[in-house]
This record gives sequence, structure tokens and C-alpha cells, in this order.
Amino acid sequence: MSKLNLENLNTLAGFVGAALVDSDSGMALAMTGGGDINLELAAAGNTEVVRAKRRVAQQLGLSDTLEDILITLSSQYHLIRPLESNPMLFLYVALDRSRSNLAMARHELKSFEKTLDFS
Amino acid sequence: MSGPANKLVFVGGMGAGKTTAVRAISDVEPISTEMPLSEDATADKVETTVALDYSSIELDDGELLHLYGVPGQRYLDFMWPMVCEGALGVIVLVSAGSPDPVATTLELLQEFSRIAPDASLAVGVTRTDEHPQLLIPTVRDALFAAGFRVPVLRVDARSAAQVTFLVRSLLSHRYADS
Amino acid sequence: MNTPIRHFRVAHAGLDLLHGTRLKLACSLLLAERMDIRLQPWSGEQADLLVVGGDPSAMAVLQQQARTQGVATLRIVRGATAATGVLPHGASVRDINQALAGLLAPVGEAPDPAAEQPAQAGTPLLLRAMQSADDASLYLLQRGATRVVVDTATRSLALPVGASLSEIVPLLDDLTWSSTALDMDTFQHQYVYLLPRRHSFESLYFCIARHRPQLLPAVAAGTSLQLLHWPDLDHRDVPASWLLPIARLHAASWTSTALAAASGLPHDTVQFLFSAAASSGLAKHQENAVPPSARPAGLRDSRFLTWVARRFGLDLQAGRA
Repeated sequence: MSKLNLENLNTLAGFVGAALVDSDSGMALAMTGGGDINLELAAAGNTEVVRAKRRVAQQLGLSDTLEDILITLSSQYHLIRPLESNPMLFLYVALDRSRSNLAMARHELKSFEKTLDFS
Repeated sequence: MSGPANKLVFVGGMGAGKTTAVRAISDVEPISTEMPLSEDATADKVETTVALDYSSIELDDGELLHLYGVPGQRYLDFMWPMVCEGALGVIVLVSAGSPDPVATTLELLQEFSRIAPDASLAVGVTRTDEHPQLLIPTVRDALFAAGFRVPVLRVDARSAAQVTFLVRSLLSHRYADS
Repeated sequence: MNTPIRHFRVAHAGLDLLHGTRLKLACSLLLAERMDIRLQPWSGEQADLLVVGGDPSAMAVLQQQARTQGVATLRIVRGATAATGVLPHGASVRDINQALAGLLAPVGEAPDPAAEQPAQAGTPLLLRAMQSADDASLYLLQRGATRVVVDTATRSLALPVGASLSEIVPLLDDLTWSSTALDMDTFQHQYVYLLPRRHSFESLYFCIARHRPQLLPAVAAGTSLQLLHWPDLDHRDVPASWLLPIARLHAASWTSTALAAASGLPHDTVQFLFSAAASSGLAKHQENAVPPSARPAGLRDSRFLTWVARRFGLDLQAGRA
């Protein structure tokens, strides 16, 4: 079982922490940074968020795929982004609001994702 | 006596919970009759206690089961034979906190088995939560030693489910014993 | 649920991080099925199962190694359909969990010498304390935050307020219970206010008969038995359908088959009642029990009684043809 490297995400403006999470097991496959966030706990918790969102979308009959979920806190953004190559996995990134640029972050996550292949 | 035995009697001293038990299983609020609290009541100021509770339960076919809550105090014992005529069951309720629960229960069992020889008997011990040191098997074995082999169960008189369980036990006991 | 925990060694090779992580979780979830898995990288040595992934040629080599050792394999293959021993790439934790359970179940019990074995696998600790005839009459049984005191002198259990026997019974065969003898002083000073409620041993045995009857020693088939006394029953644990058989058993001696037929209860359930009666010390064994035939016609209120019973949710006609 190889190790996965999320360190390139450190370059995101306002980066606080990131994890790659398997929403089936709720476990973080890799983590980096973190600050005050317990990334493992966040992984499990956010798995629930993703599942709930998907359930709602299904119940509403939405055929769109889930691109990302943004949670806005008073001082942070938490971005949850399922991988295009394997929607069961998602990247979970926490950013400092005052220093981050959401549009840039989403764009960079998209390219970073291409370096991961779990298909 | 004509007709089936159609009464169920709850007997117990003050605080044993007979009024509460009758109310718990009645469809409508029981009728309660007051009596003087003590035998030396004076004419002008009489403290009363609820002495007799009566309620009826409708069965299939429109038949009625008559429920009575009857005091276990000696000075009110004139009531006992009247109430017991036609009783299918007599349930003695005793509080686990009373000074001598076994003796109190035994006295009532002896009286009521004499007055109502055709009735089935059972014992419900109330307030066991407040007085946990009194164990049911202890009471039961003591009553057995004195000649009474009957269901003895703990019961919270306020709970319809628990009073019903006690009644079901008595009815099963009666049916199997016949 | 008297089964002891079985121990297994599962090896893995060629799995990527995702499937490796899911395998780990799938293994830990198997504890619920009383299976304790030790996961280790494949080194060609003896194991109960090899889980293998990765590219097909590497997998083939690993499979061959496993075969020579007589080790079963679970392969995770791209584009495969699930079959015995095969899961598709992307299989979920649950899929892996079920495949493991299926492949490991027939494996013989291989007790792990490194693991702690209970001194007497079989009878739960609490029941053993209840049956002990030692000098110490008080035992503190603990499992996590759950505490019960067993008092063999009064044949009762001390429980916390609000705890019911039906909450304790499912926990009885857990291996994490501990038992300590207590002296009366310690109990009075430290525990009586925590565990103020009392239940008789009898009420526990009948609760076990309801919720985990396998924990009670079985009574030999064909035994005829009568109840010495009406048991101390808790209304929460005794269904209405049990009351008539209990009443019959109180009134006369029965074999379990005859009582089951007369009461309309499954034979197993009656056996459980017999076990509870025996464990409680309420069983009066009698040879040559004559099962009562048709009820004597003496009771003039039998029809009325049936109505009263029905009004109280009790079916006195159960078992009648």
C-alpha cells in the first residue's frame, strides 16, 4: 500500500489542511497540515455530509454530478470535492478565509486531482 | 349465586395503591366513596379517606367486569363480604414500605380466602423502587410457608401495563388451576 | 450467543491505498461476528486468507504461492464481477467484509496463543458469579461503565436506577466483564448509592430465557417438571403468551412437548422456560408426569373468564385445536 502525497496542496493561498477521504470507509487515506483541525475526525464527519448531499440530490431527482460542497465558516472555508475519477473519494481542504481565493482554490484542486488516479 | 363470578377485587391498606391500581386499568374514572379516617372520628371534624373504589369494564357481549378497590383496615371489614360475593379474583396489594408487609398480606389472604373461597388470589407488592431491600421471592416464600401458593409480583400501581400484568397473571393462574 | 471469539490471520499483497484502507476497516468490523482478524503483509507464510490486488501478472504469481501453502485467496480485479473469491476493483467496505466472512467461516478454529483466553469459555462471568458457592457473597461485575453487584446471600442483583435487566442480558457474554469480590463495608460505603435497585436472580433467569436463552443450561429433553412457586416475573420481559404455560407449569407437572402443545407455544420456547425454572431453583422434577387431559368441567365461569382475559390482552384459548 503506497503512501499518497498531498503536500503540493500546501501552495494554495490560505492553506490550513487537507485530506483525501474515502467516503465508503469514512477514513482519510492521506492528510497534510491541519492546524487546529482534527483531520481524521473531519474526514469521517464530512463523509456524512457528502452522503447526505448525494441522498438529497437523488431524492430530488437531480442528475447533475456533485462537483463540490463549500462550507463557509466565520474564519475558514472548507471545500469538499469528490474526485472525478472516483466519486467515492473526495478531497477535503480547509482554507483561511482572509487569505484565500476560492475561485483559484477550486481551479487548483481540479488540476491537482488529475495527479491522482483511483479509477 | 347465579351468573358468573364477575368481580375483581383489589384490597390493600393505606398507601398500598389500590385506588391507583383500579384507576390505572379502568376505562373511566372510578367512583370513590369516602369513609372516616379513623374509628374514633368525632361528629364535627371528620377526616376521611377514600374507602371504596368502584369501576366497571365492558367486555364482549356487553357483559361487565366489576372492579373494586377495598380497604384492608380491620375497622372497615364489614365491607369485605359484600364486595367479595361473586369475585373471581382478589388481589392483595401491599407497600414494600409498610412495617410488616408479610404479616399484613398474610392476614388479608387468610380473611379473603375464607370470605371468598371461590376467588383466586394474587399479591402485588408496590413501591419496591423506594424500598429495594424487600425481595419478591422472600415475600412469596414466607406466604408459602404459611400455606398460600399464589403469584406474588412487584407492581407499580400507577402503571396500567404493570397492573394489567398482575391481572393477567391472576387470570392465568385461575384458568390453569381449575 | 455463547460462541467464543475466533482468531484469524489475513495477509495482503498488491493492494493500493484505497483497497488496503477498506480492507482494514472491513476486518475490524468482523469483530461483530466474533471474528478477530490480524492483518499482515504477505510474506509467503501460513495465513488463513490472502487478499491480493494489483496487476494481473503479479496477482497470478501471488496466487500460485498461496496455493502451494494451501491458503485461500480473495482477489480484487478490475472489471470483474463479484464471485466467490473475487471482488471488483472499487469494492466497498461492506463487500469486502462479506467476502471475508464467507471465506473465513469454514476455516477451523485456530486459537491464537498470544491472545487471552477466558478461564472458562462458555458461562458468562456474571452467571458464574451468581452460581458461586464461595465465602464471598458479594461480587462487583464491571464492563466499561456498566456495574452490577451480585449478592449470592440474598440471591439478588444490585443495579443502577433506570437500568433494566433486558439491557444487561445482551451484554452477558461479552468478554470484557471483570469480577471482583466485595466486602459488605465497601459495598455499603461505595456502591449502595450507585446501585440502589434490586432484582432477584429469578427475574434475571426469566429475562435471559426471553432475550438470550442459549446462555442457560438446557434441560434434558423429555424431562417433566413443575414449578415450585410462581416465579418473580418482570412485566417487561415476559410476554402475555408465556403466562398461561407458566400457570400450567405452576399447577401441574408437564413435559415440554405436552406443554408446548397445550399452550400453542413453540417447543423451543417451552424448553427455555424449563431452563429458566431449573436455573432459578424453581424446578420440581417429578417422574411419571401425567399430562392433564381435557380441563375438568367444574369451572362455571370459564367463558366469562375468557372474555375478561381477552379484555386484558390475554388469550386463554391458545393451543386449543
